[in-house]
Amino acid sequence: MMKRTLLAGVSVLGMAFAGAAMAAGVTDADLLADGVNAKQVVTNGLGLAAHRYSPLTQINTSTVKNLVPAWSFSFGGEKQRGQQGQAVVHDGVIYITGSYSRLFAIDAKTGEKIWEYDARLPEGIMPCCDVVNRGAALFGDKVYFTTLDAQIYALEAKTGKVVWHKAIDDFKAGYSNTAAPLIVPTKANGTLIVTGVSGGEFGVVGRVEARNVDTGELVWSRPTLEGLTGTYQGKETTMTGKANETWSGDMYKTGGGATWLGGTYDPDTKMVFFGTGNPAPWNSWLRPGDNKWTSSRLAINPENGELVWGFQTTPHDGWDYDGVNEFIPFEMTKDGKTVKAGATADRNGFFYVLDRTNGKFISAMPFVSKITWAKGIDASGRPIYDEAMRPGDPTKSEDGKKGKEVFAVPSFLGGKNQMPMAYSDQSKLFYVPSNEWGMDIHNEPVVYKKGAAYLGAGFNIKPIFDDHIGSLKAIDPVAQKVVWEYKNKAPLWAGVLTTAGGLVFTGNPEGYLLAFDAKNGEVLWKFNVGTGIVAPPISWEQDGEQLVGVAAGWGGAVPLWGGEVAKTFKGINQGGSYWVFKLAPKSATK
Amino acid sequence: MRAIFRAALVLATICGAVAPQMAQSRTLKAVESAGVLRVTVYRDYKPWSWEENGVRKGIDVEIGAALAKALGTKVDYLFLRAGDEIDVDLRNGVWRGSLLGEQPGDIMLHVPNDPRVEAANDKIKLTAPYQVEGLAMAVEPGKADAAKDFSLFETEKVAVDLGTLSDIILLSARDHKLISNIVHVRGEDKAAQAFEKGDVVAFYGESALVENLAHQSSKPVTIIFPPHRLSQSWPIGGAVNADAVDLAEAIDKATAHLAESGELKKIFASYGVTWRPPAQEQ
Repeated sequence: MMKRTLLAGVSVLGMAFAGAAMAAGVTDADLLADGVNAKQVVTNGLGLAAHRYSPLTQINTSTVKNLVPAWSFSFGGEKQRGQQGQAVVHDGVIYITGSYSRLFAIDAKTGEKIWEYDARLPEGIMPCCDVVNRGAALFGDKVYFTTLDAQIYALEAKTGKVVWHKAIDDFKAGYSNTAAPLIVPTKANGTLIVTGVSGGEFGVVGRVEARNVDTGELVWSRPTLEGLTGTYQGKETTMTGKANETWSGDMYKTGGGATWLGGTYDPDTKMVFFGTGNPAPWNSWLRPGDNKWTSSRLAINPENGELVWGFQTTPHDGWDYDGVNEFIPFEMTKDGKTVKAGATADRNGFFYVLDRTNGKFISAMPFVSKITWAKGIDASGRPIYDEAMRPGDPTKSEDGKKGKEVFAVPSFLGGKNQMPMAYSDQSKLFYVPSNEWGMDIHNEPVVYKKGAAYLGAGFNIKPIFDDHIGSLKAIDPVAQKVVWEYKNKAPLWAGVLTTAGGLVFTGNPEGYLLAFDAKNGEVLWKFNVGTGIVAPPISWEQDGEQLVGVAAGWGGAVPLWGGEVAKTFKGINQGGSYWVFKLAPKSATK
Repeated sequence: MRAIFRAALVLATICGAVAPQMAQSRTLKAVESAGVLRVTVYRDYKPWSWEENGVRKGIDVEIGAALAKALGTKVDYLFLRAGDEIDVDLRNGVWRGSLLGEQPGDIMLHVPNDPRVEAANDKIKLTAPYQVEGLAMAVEPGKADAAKDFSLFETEKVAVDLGTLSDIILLSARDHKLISNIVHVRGEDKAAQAFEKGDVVAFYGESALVENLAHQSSKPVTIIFPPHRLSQSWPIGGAVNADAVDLAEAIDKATAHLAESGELKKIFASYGVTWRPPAQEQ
C-alpha cells in the first residue's frame, strides 16, 4: 500500500518535471534558429525572415517519388470553407488553425487530436471574403492566434485553455484579423507579439502593433497612414509622415492601408517589415496625392514602433493593388558584392528588390506575362503610369451609363495575393506563386449600399491565356529573369515551400500537393487530397524522418468570383483537413 | 479586394457551395403557424433601425411591427450589418442567411424598389415600396443660398457620413475643390454633433437622417435639396424569398393598408421625417 502511494507520488512528480521542462517551451533562441533547426517549425514562414526554406534533404529529387500519406486529420464540424493556415510544430505537437477561427493541437506522430479551441464568434460579423485564418504563433508555453472578430488569444499550448485575450479593434467598425502573428525579441521590452489589422469595410485604417507576450498589454502602435500618430507605452509618440503631405482634407483619417497579411522580421538589421493595403475610397479621383503609406512596404523598429523607412509600390493606387505582400530579407550577391537586400512580389505584378537597410530601390521586373497599368518602373522605383489605363472618374460619367471600360492587368486579385513565396538558400531563387489575369473596369452608376443609392465600379476578372491562370515561377533576383515556370489551369492560391533536397512544394485548387525540381520546375511527385489546397506546406524532422504537412480545404477569395475564372475551378469541393506525408517504409518500395 | 466592388459574383457558385446551410423559404402559412414574422433591418441605421439600451427603435422597426400585426403574428428582428453592396445584404438577410449560420428574415426592409435589384438577385421578390428616399442638406439658415450649388464649401466646412453617395458628391463637386473642407463622420449622431458644436455649418446625407437630426437640433437649420448630377431619389420597400409569393402578396396588402390608414405617415412623423409616398403602381 505504502509503496504504491510512494510510487504514485514519484510519477506525479516526474510528470510535473516533464511539464516544467515543456513549460520552458519556445524561446527567443528557438525563434531565431527556426529554419536552421529542422526539428521544429515555430514561426510562420520557417524562420522569422520567412524564406520558407527547409534544410532537410531526406526527401529529395530522387526519393520524393516514394512520398506517401502518413495520416490525415479532419477539422470536423459542419463548417468548412477555405483552409489557409500554416502549421507550427513544437515538441511533437502540430498547431494548426482552421476556418471560422478554430485552433487545433494534433499529435504530430499519430494525427490524434489533443485539443481544439473554437473562438466564439459574435453575431453579425461580416467577413469580407472568406472565414479563413492563416496560422498560429508559438512562444514560451503559449500558442497565439487571431480571430475574425479582431481578437488575439493566448492559449496554454498544452491544454488549449485561454491565458489572456485582447481586442485588437472593434469588429463592429469593420475590423477583423486573419493573419498569423509575428513574435520578435526586443531589448527594451522583451519578447513582443506583433500584429496588423484587417477589415472589410470603409474606414478601416491600417496599423502595426506590438504586445507583451505574457500579458497582451500593448507596447507600441504604428499607424500606416501619414498624419496619424503612434503610441509607445501608453503615450503618444511620433506622427507617421506629415499630415496632408500626400493626402487632401481629412481623407487620411479613414484612408485604408490595412496590414492584413502580417509581417516578417530580419534578425540581422532587427527590423519588422509589413505590407500595407490599398487606399480608400476605391475611386482614386476622390483622394488626390500619393496617399502614403498605402500600397507600401514599411520597416519598423520593434524596440519602439518607430518607422524606419517606407517604400510605396503603387502611389495613388486606382486599381486596388493591395500592397500587403510579404517582404523577404535575403543576402544578394551581385558583381562580387553582397547586399543586404529584401524582395517582394506585389499585387501590381512587379517583383521588387530593395536595400533592406534603408528601403532604397534596387530593381524591379514583371513576374506576370502582361502588365498594362504601368509602362515600367523608373530608376527611383516609381511606376511609369499609363494614364489611359487608370479607371475613369465615375463621377464624370452620365447617369445610367457604364462609362469607359478599361482592361487592366493584373486584376485586383493581383499578380500575387496572400499566398507566400519561398526563397531557397540553396538555389538562390525565389519561387513565386502568381496568377495571369486582368480585369474589365467600368462605372456602375446604379448601385445600392445599405439600402441607399451609391456609385460603384463594376469588375470582371478575365484570364489572359486560354489554358491557364496559375503560374508558379522561379525568379533569379540577381539576373532579373524567370528561370522556369509551371502553368496551372486554376488560379494558384497556396503558399510555397522549398527544401535543401532540391525541391519546391505547393498545392493547387485541383487538390494536388505538388513537388517540383527546384532547378527546372519538373513535376516529380503529386498527390490529390480531395479538395483544393490554398495553404502553405511545411517540412520538419521527427524521429529521424522528414515529414511534409499541409492544410487542405478549398476557399478564400477566388471562389467568390465568377465569369471565365470560375470555369477553371468548377466542381471543386470544400473540405477541411490536415495532411502529413513521409517516405514510404523501405519494405514497400524498391 | 476590400474596396467597394460591384462584383461579378456568380450566385450559382456561392449557392451551390453553401447549399447545406440554405434556409427554407417560409411561406405565408409557415409564418402564420410559427406565429412570428422575422424582419431583417439594418444595424446602427438611425432613424430607421437601431438599438438603444436594449430597446429596438426606428421607422423600419415600427413598420416591421405593424406588418407583423397585420399578419396576426409577433415580430422578431434580424439586425443586419451592411455589406459592401445590396446583393450581399439580400443574401445574408433574405435568402441564405449569414456564413456563421444566422437565419435570414422572412422579409427584409429598406430594400431599394428597383427592378434592377430583382433582376440581379433572382432568389428574392420585391414587395411594395413605402417611402421615396433621396439626399438632403441641413445648413445654417443664412448660408442656405450659397450651399445650394456647394460653393459655400470652398470656404466652410460640411459634415458627411463616410462612404455614402452624399460623400462622393461632396468629394467630386466643383471639380474636387471641396475635399479639404469635408469632415467625415461615422455614425448617426456625429454629423449633428459637429453641427451643434459649430465645427461645420452644414451636414449632408440621406433625407430621413438629415430631417431626423435637424428635428432634434437646438440650433436653427434650413433643409435644402441641392441639385447635382449624381443626386437621385429611390423608392424603398421590402424583399422576401422569391418562393414566398403568398407572403409577398400579404405584405403588399398590409403596406397599402398602413398607407391608407395614415399609420405610415404617423410613424415617419414621430421621427421628424416627411413621409414621401411612392407613386402607386399600375
